[in-house]
Amino acid sequence: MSGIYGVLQTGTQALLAQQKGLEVTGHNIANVNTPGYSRQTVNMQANAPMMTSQGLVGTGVTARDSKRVYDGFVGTQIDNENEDLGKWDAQKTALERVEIIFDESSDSGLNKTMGEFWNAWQDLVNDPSGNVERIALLGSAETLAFELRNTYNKFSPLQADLDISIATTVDQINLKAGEIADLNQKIIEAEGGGSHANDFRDARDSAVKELSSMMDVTTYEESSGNINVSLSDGRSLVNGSNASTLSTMISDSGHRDVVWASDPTVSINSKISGGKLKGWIEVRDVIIPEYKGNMEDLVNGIKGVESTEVVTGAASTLTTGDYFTISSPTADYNVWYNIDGGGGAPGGNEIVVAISAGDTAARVASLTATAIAAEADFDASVTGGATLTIANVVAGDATDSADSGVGTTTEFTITKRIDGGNGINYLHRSGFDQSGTAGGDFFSGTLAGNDFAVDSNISADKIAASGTAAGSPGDNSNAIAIAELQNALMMSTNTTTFDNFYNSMVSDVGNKVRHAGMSYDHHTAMVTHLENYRESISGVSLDEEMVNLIQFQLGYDAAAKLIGTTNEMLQTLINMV
Amino acid sequence: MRVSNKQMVNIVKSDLFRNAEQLLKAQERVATRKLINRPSDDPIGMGKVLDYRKTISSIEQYDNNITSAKNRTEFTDTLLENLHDLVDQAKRMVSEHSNQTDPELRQGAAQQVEGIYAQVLAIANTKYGDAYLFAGHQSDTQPFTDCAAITCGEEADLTDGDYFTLGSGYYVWYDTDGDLGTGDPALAGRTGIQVDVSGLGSAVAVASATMTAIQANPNFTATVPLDDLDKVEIVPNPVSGSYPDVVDVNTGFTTHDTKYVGDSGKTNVIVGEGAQVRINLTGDDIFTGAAVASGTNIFDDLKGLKDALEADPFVTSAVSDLADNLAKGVNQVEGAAVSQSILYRRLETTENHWVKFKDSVVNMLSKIEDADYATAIVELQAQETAYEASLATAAKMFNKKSLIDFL
Repeated sequence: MSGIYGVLQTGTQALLAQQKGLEVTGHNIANVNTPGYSRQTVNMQANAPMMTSQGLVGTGVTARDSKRVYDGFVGTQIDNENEDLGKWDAQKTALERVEIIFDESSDSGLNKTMGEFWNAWQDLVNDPSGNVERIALLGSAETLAFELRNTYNKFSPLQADLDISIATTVDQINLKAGEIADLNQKIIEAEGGGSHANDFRDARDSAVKELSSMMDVTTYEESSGNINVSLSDGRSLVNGSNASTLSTMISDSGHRDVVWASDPTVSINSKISGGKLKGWIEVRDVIIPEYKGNMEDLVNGIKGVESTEVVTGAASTLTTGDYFTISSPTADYNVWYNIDGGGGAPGGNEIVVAISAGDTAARVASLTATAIAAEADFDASVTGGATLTIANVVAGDATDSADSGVGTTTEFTITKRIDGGNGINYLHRSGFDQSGTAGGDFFSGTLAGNDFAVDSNISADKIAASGTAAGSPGDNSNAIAIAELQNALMMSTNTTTFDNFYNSMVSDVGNKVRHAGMSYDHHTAMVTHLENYRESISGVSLDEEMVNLIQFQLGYDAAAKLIGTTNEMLQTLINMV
Repeated sequence: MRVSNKQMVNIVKSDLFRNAEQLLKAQERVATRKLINRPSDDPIGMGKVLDYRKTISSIEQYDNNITSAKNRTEFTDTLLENLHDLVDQAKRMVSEHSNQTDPELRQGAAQQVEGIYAQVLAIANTKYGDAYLFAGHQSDTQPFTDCAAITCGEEADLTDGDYFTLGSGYYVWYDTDGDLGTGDPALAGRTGIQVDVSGLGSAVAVASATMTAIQANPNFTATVPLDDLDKVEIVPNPVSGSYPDVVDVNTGFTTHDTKYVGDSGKTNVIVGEGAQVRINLTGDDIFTGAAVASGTNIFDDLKGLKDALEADPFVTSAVSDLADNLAKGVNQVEGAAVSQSILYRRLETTENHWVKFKDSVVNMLSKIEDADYATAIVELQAQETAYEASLATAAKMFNKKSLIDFL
């Protein structure tokens, strides 16, 4: 349409376009503090010109739609960094709690308790028959056992807390996945008409960002506008407007593992490689079990752990003090091996089998048979070279060979001392208490069983300080041997002392916390940087909006003026009539 | 570059947080005076701190051990000094009295020796705390038993020829192998009462045999008390009893052997990592001489001296022959005393070493763990300034005019 009405039409369109500009500016100003908001701009376009007799004449402006200013590449980068940040954030907070368990910064803690325990043995050395020293030793042994148990037991609540965090996070992931699926649908619907669903897209980007801080996800935007989200096991969490659900299950270790709700027995823990979930899972399933294991090793080292092991009876498979137990109706006997005159009886009724390094299984079997047969209760013989048969010879109980503990093969089930096995129990059994009886186990129980304690049979007078049998109250040689365990290389395959083993554990915790802290700081800096970059592109600048405001206001004023002027022109025309 | 409002806010926020965190750390250092407040502050340092703490605790324990060993050694030393004086006195009496012609003076001397014997016995049975000092590992058993009442008279404890005397005229001696005369100590001028203990397995049987043998002599009445079957009580026969000085046999020293029932067990103390020193002397080291090269049994020598001084008729050589043995006894005690002073020196040297070493470990610990107060405070000031600066910047930024103010 040309002519004066055409000018009027142009003015109206200009008014609308400037108004649209003002609306968008207002929207931007209103959302200056909205997280994840991207500023929008109005897409104004000059209308197609008309061919008139005067040539091509412009027909004004149309505000097509508003578009958000957004750099998709930065968004993806932020998501990736967020996965790492989430992981280190979770690890840092969880490890800081582990660090508190090993509170050695003040002058208390396990390090000190262990020192006091060994010192108490030295006090006993100074006065091996002193009742005060014995009671004090018993007290410090109980304190040590308590502290070890106490420290160890602090790990489980921590793991349980992490379970809760993991379960809660899985719920949040489901929520976010649902949100994304919802938004996918809204965006498709809104953009079907060719416009841009700016705010929905912002909301969806925010949801993806939050999702990536919880676990590692891969996103892919389809040409339709859908975002598909999949996990690193390749399965899709969000597909168009459908969201799958994650859930948790109780694993064999008693903790919560992440699973697909549709496949509730298959843990996908190992597939998760980022986000808070990864951080928590790593602390709960790798780091804490490692420390628990270390604590157990420490206790086993102090105690001296024996394990039942099937060994072929050759001397090379035996260590002095290895033993097995056979029973007769009258008593249990510990049959133990003494290689080249070593020591270390397991205590109790014993049958000593003296063997030499290098003895073959056949020779060991033969020596064992001879030693056992010397005891009145038993008859033992060797057949077929190395097959040991033991039978009770007490009248009326000849069939009790089931108790013998030794099968009829060359393999003996022998209780062996494992790494560091020559701990306190071993030495304590080699000594004698105040009444001249061979000492029993000093510690019993395990940390895992929550029953690690001074053996219930140990009382002050039952502490075996003496190294010689029967009635040597002034003998302190066994107490010396035990006290010197403190400096013996008993841990990590005989390469370090108890104290150093524990100290390096504390150092290790410190290192891990430090490392997590540094990684957290690093990734925080990265995310801050990227966020700033994003803000500099997509963020709202009030100054800019002010300028726009004035710009659109002036435009609006001018358009109004155009209409006014046209109106006057029309009046003039009418008055002419 | 575009600068959006949120960018400014974010930067202010992160700067404030960072500075606040550093300020907190600086404050903690000043408040606790420690550089390491948790393992992550300095993981390697923490390991060292724990190691040093353990070392200090061990040194303190070694110090305790050494102090208690020193006390014991000092105590032993005092006893050995007294013992030395006593044995030396007995040695001098040999030369003083070997030609003594006055029987009363000799009796007086004999009583003096008896007194010395009693004191030596008391020293030998000294307790340190609850434990007998010279008993080896048998620290709860009195190491030297005076066999006056023949309470330790198990056959196995007796050697052929062991004896005790009844007054100055009789001696009761034990024949362990039933070969009668062989082994008879036959001290000059005494009547022997032989007790055949061959094959007797218990102290009760020995006591009973002793009683029978003594009873057979008309001058004595001997009984085994019903409440103490391994003890013999002996009194002069009221009818023919002409030996009133026998009355004290139950309490005096009368057997040939003061028996050592301790053992040769060593008592070691820990004075350092893997370092032990032996701190005890046993009865065999000092008194019986059994553990010493060319040692002598001091009790035997004193007993012999007393017997020889009491003997009637008096034999000069019986006294003077003991001079050599007593001289050996003096040497034996001196040797023990020297070993104790060497031990004391060693303990002292070790103690000094630990004192110095502890000082340096405490220093090293302090260097790693303790915050230098001046540095910490200066750093706190610096952090405070930084924090205030970031606050001021923030305030400035938020107060700045925007375009709105000019429209």
